[in-house]
Order: sequence, then structure tokens, then C-alpha cells
Amino acid sequence: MAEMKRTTKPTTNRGGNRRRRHKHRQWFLRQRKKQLRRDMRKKRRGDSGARPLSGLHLNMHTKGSVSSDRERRITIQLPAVLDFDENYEQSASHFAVLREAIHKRKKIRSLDFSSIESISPSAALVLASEVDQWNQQVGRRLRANLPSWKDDIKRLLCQMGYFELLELEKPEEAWPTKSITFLKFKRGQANAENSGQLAKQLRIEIETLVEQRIKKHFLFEGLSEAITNVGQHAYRDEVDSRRKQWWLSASYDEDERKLCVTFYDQGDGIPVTLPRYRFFERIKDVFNSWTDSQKIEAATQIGRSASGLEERGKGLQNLVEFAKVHSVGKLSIYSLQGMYVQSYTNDGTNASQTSARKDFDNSIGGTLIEWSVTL
Amino acid sequence: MVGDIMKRIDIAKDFSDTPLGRYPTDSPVSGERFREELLCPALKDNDSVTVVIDGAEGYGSSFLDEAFGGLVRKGYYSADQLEQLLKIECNDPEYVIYKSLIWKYIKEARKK
Repeated sequence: MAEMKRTTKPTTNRGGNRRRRHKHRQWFLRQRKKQLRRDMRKKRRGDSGARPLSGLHLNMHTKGSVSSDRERRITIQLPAVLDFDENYEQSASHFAVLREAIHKRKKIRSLDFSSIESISPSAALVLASEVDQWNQQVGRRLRANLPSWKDDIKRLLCQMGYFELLELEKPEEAWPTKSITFLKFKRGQANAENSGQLAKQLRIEIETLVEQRIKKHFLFEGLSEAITNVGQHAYRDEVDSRRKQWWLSASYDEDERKLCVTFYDQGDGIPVTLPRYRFFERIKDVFNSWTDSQKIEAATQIGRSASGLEERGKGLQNLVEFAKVHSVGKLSIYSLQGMYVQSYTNDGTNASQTSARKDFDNSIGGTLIEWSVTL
Repeated sequence: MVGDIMKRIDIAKDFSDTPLGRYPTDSPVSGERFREELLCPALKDNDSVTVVIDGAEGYGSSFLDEAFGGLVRKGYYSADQLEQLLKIECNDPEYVIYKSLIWKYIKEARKK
């Protein structure tokens, strides 16, 4: 019997070893498949630094700024410099995360303003549009820890209307007076009866602030075309006109006598809407290889060089006039991942014009138009 | 002899001081609406029409092109007929540019 046991035991072990080896091979293959899937996902993201956190896509600029707690509520810490001129990628990336969180209706625990040391009028308007979207779409109060804000940021954001947006009580403390003043932002929508009146109201507020009359008809010309573009092109797939929104604000730097007017929409963007013109449809093979900034530049040329080509192509030309008629003026158009700037100087005898383009890694999430002029 | 019947339309007072957009889908005070509701009926019923452009906040090209260029594109009038029928009045020197733009859009427009 003992002999028999000795002969049968190795046979059983051989079967067991085979099963174990088979199981191990299966496990190994499963791990390899998982790794391959992970690699594929990483490759598709095209950004080695990107990691989804609570379903949000982060990049190298935002991975240290977004955290979530055990209840998957997220906190977004805004960067020290929110400015598209000086810190575009970081500013645009943070706004993109906030936009995605709102779009996906994530639970946002708080929006952390405490690190902000400087904020440009354009960045403040884009951020205001995102918070405004949160209020409209989600409705819950967005928490922001006011005492941690820098005094100057507190003052600027209060002027722009953030206290109302964030339902914060305005403190009575006297804030330091700086030369820059923001005007409260205005939200409009396509086909609304009050669109033109909002533009007029902003002009009146600007004239009160700068204590002089401005070239109102040129400003209205630009703003009315920007508003028209939102209705006609920007939100192509949006059927509800209430969601075809735009935001508008202005700021004035008293020391430099610099007036800045900003207009923003969260639509499809000029690089996407431009091919709908018949001319660009005809050259789409060439057109598709252009960068976003090249497409924005092309959009500003319609109506100037292709007069009579199509009656619906004169709009963007109206934007430049307000910048052109001042001694120093600049029109900046950011749309998706591109930027196009036209700068003008005119000392009464000599006038000059320069332009520049730039492309970025991150999208601004719509179209931002900024007029900057010296009064 | 009966004198010519003349009509005067002040855009800022009779239509809107913030005219905006090309079509009614852009804005309730669009160029198409101004053309169809005020300008065309006035041109039809009168021997000449004077349009006053002062007083408005400003004009975008979409509004002006659709309001005035649209008269030719829609086949209501030719550019030559409009030169006889239509007068653009402008007392504010800053708005003279819009007067020349209106005639530019009328001359550039082609009947569809």
C-alpha cells in the first residue's frame, strides 16, 4: 500500500503543478492585458502627466491643484497668476478642470482663491463665467474661503461681482486703493432683447469710471458684432437660446490710463465655425492643416480681402475699429488653442500696425475678445 | 400740383438706439426687422425716404448690410433706384462713416 501511495502521489502532484502553472499563466496574461490597456489609455491621452481624478482630466499644470476627499468632493486650488498674457497654459488648464467638473456635475467642495496674487481682467471674466455656469447648472453654493484671499484680489473680485456669484457677504473693511478698477460683469444671451442695452450700460459705466467720453460707436460696433457672432455661429448644436450665453466686462488702470474691455463666450470657437463659410469650405484641404491661430487670423481678414464674397463675413472686421482709433490700441482674440493680436499706434502723424499669432497646448474653452486701449 | 410725399425715419427714435444683428434670430432689433417693418413700407408708400442715423449707440456691419444691402439682395430695389429714393441724414461727424458704409453695402449687394 505504501508502495502504491508513493507511485500515485507524484502523478497527483504533476496534475496540481500543471493547474498551478496554467493558473499562473492566466494571471500573468490578465496582468499583461491590463498593462496594455493602461498603456493604450495613456497613449490616447497624449499627455504623460495626465491622470483622471474623480473622472477629471488633469495635466501637468493642474495635477497638484486638484484634490478630492473621501466623499469624492473636489477642491480646486487656483494658481498664483491668472493671466492669459503671462501664464496662459496654467490659467486655461485650471479653467478647463473647473468647466469639466461643472459639466460632469461633480461635487465641488471648494474653489480655493487663497494662492491668487494677480488676476487679469480677461482671466477674471472667464473665471466669473465658469462660476456663473456652476450657479445656473448646479445651483448649490460654491464654497470659497474669503478670509484667505489677498486684499487686492478681494477688492477686484468684489468689483467684478464675485461676491454675488459666490453668495459672500461684502465685508465693510476698507481695502487698499489700487489704480486698477474692474467693472461688474454682465451676462447676456443670444437673441435677447436687452443685448444692445447691456453693451450701452457698460459704455455708460466706463465713461463714469474714466470721467470722459469714449468713442462709443466704435465700441458698440465691436460688441454688437461679437454678440451677433454668438447668436449666429458660436453655439451650433445648442437649440436652447438661453444657453447661448456671453459675458462682458471692463477694467481701467488709472495710472496707465489703460481701458480694457473683454467679451467671452463658451461656444464652438472661431477655428471650428470658420469652415462654415463657403470660401473656406472650398479650400478645406489646405485649411484643415492650419493651426487655430492661423484660422483666427484668416477670420479677421474676411470682408477686408474678400469683399463681396459673402454678405455674412464682415463681422470680425468691426472688432478692430475700437483698437484702431486710439493712440495705442490692441485687439486680442483667443479662440480654442489659438491667439491672434493686432496692435496699433498712432501719434497723429505716424500710424503703425503689427500683428502676432500664438498657439497653445490648452484651449480657452470658447472665444475671448479683448480690447485694450490707452485713453 | 401735389408735392412729393416724403417720409423721415429716425433709427434711434423710431426703431432702437441699440440696433443689433442681421436676422431676428440675432436680436429683436435686427437689420432684417428694420428693413421689413419700417424701411420697405416707407419706400413703398412714399416718393422718398430720409433715414436719420444719428443718436444710436453705433452700428455693426451686420445690421447695416442687412437693412440696406438687403433691399437690393431681396430684389425690392436696384442700387440706382435707391439713389433716387433714399437719403441718409447724418449730423454727427463721427457717424459719417456709417453713411458711406450704407452706400457701399447697397452698391456691393447683388440680387439673389
